[in-house]
Amino acid sequence: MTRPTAVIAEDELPQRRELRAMLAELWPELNVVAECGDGLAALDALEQHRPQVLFLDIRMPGVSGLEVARAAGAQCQVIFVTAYEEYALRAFDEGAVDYLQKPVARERLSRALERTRARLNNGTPVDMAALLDMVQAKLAPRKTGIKWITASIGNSMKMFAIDEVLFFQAQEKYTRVVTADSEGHIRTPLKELIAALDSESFWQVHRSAIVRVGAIRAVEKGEDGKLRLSLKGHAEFLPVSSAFQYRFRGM
Amino acid sequence: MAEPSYPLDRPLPPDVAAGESAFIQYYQKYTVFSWPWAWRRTVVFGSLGVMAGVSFGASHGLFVRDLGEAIVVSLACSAANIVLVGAGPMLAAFFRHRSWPRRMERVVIVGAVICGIVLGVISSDWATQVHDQFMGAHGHHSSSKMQPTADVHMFVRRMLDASRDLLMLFIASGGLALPAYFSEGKRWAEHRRRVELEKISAQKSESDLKLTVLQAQVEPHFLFNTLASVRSLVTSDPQRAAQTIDALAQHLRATLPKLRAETGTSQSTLGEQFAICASYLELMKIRLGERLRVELELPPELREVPFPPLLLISLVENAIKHGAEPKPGVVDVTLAARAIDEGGQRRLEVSVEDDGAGLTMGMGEGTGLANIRAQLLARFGSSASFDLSQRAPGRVLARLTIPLEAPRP
Repeated sequence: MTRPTAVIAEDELPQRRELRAMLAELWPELNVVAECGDGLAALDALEQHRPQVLFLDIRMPGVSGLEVARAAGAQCQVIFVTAYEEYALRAFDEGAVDYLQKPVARERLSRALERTRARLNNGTPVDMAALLDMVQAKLAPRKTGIKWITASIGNSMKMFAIDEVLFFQAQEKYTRVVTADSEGHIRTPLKELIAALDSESFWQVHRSAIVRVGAIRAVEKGEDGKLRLSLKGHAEFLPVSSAFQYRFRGM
Repeated sequence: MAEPSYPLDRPLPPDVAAGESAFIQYYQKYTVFSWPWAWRRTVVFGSLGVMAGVSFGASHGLFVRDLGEAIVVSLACSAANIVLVGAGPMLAAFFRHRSWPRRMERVVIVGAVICGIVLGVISSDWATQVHDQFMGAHGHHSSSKMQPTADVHMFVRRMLDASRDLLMLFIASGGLALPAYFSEGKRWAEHRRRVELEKISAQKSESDLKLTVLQAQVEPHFLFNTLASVRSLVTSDPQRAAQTIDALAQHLRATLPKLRAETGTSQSTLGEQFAICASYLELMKIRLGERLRVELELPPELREVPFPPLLLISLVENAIKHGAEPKPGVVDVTLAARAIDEGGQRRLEVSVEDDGAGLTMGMGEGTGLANIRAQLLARFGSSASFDLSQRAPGRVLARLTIPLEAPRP
C-alpha cells in the first residue's frame, strides 16, 4: 500500500515546521509532499499533487483556507489549523471535517489524525460546501452598516466617510460619489447602494440619484416647475422625480 | 463673518434672545427687527399707548363734559402713540427682511429708527393740535403752547424738557433695540460655540466608550497565533522564541493598562505611541518573517509631543491586517511623523503607508477606521484631518494631521 500524501498550507514558517515535525512523529507514514506559505501556492499544490490529506490555515495571504477547501471539494480529507475562536468552527463538529485550534495541542492533533486515518480507510471524502458556507458566514465581520465608500479619483483611490457623502449619482457605467470638497466614482450600482445604505440617512430622489438627507439645504421648484434639491456646500441641484416627490410633500 | 442662517421669523434660542422679563419676552424672544418681533413689540407698547391715549381723552372729556370730544381725543392720541411705538420697528423690520449686506442693513436700520422717531413726533404734534383746537374752542390756552424765550433760565429749562422728550421718543420708537441688534452677532457666536462644545463633549464620551470596547478586544486571532508561533519556536529557535515573548509582553504592557483607565482623557506622547507600534511590528516581523519590512521615522524633537493613545496602533494594525497579511510576498510598512506648516499653522502629520493588498472600490464597514475618525473629531473637532487613500496600485496611505502642541515639560 502506498503512503498517504499530504499538503500543509500555513503562512507562518515556524508553525509550519512545527506541524511537520509533529506529523513526522505521530503519523510517520504520512508523506508531506508540499508546504505552502499562502493560499495561491496551496491551490497550485492541490492541483499538482492531489493529496489525500490537506492541513489548512484559514487566514492566509491571497486565498483563504476556506476557499482552498472549497476548491478541494471531495478529493481530500481536510484538517483546518486556525487561531480563530471555537464558536465559529463549531459547525465542523457535525461534519466530516476536523479542525485544530492554535497553538496545536499534541493530544488534539493525535486524535484528529486517528479520525482522518479511519476516514481514509473507509469511504470517500464528502463535499463540505455547505459546512464551509456556514463557517464563512460566522467568520465574516458582523454587519455594522456601511461606514466608508472607497472611490476612485483618476488613478488613485480614496476612502470617504459615509457621512461626508452629499449624494450618489448614476452615470453611464459608474456611480458618482460627491462630497463637499471632492468627488470620485465607484462601480456599485445605485440599486445595490440603496439596499445597503441606512434608509433613514439616505433617500433615493430620482432614478439616477441618492441623496444624504442631512446634506439637503432646501427643496425648491425649478424653472420647469419640477422639484429640485439644493445641497449644503455644493452648487449642483438634484432633480426629484415625480415618483419620489411624496418625500417632500408638505415641506 | 458667518451670518446666522437662522430664519428671521422663528423664536431665538434663549441664550441668543435679548431680554429676560416675561412680559417683554413676548417679543424679545424673536430676532430684533424681524416681523414677529416688530408686530409683537407694537402690540405690547401699542396697548400701553392706547391706554395712555384713552385716559388722556377721558380726562379731556371730563374736563369739558363732552363725550364726543373725549372719543375723538382718545382716538387721536392712541393713533399717535401707536405710530410712535410702531413706525420705527416696522420700518426697520421691512428693511431687515430684505437681507441686504450687513453693513448696509445696519445703516438703513438706524435710519429707519430715526425715521420712526420723526414720524412719532409728527403724529404727536398732530394729536396735540387736535386737542389744542378743542381747547381753543373752549377758550383755553394749550399748556404746551410755547412761550417766547424770555431769559436764559427759561432757555435751559426748555432744552432740558426737549432732551427728556427726545429720550422718551427714542425709547418708545425702538431705539433701545439698536444695541441688542448690534450685539446679535456676538450672541450668535457665543451660542454656536456653546452648542459646538456640548456636541463635542457628547461625541467625546461616546467615542471614548467605543474605544474602551475596542481595547477590550485584544484580538484572539492575533493572540493565539502569536502563542502558536512562540510554541513552535521554543524547540526550533529558542532565542527567537524568547524575543517573541519579550515583544508580546511589551505590546501587552503598552495596550492592556489602558483597559482599566476609567476615562478617555488619558494622554500620551508620540514617542510612547511609536514604541507601542514598534513592539507590535517586531512581533509581526517574527511571525511573518521576511515577508514584512518595517520602517519607523520619528524625528527626535517630536518624541515628547502629546499624542492621543491608541490611534496610531489602530492604524498600524489596520495596515497589517488589511495590507500585509492578505497579500502574498514582501510588504513594506512605513510609519512616519513630521511637523508641517499648513496655512501658517504648525501641524503634526502622522502617516502609515503599506504596499499590501490595497483598497477595494465600493462600500466598506471599517469600524476601526470609523473609531479613529470619531476619536479625532471628539478630541480636536474640525482641527484634525484624517484620510485614507491609494495613490498607486497597492500603496495605501493613512494620514492624519492634528495641531502641533509643545512637548510636555
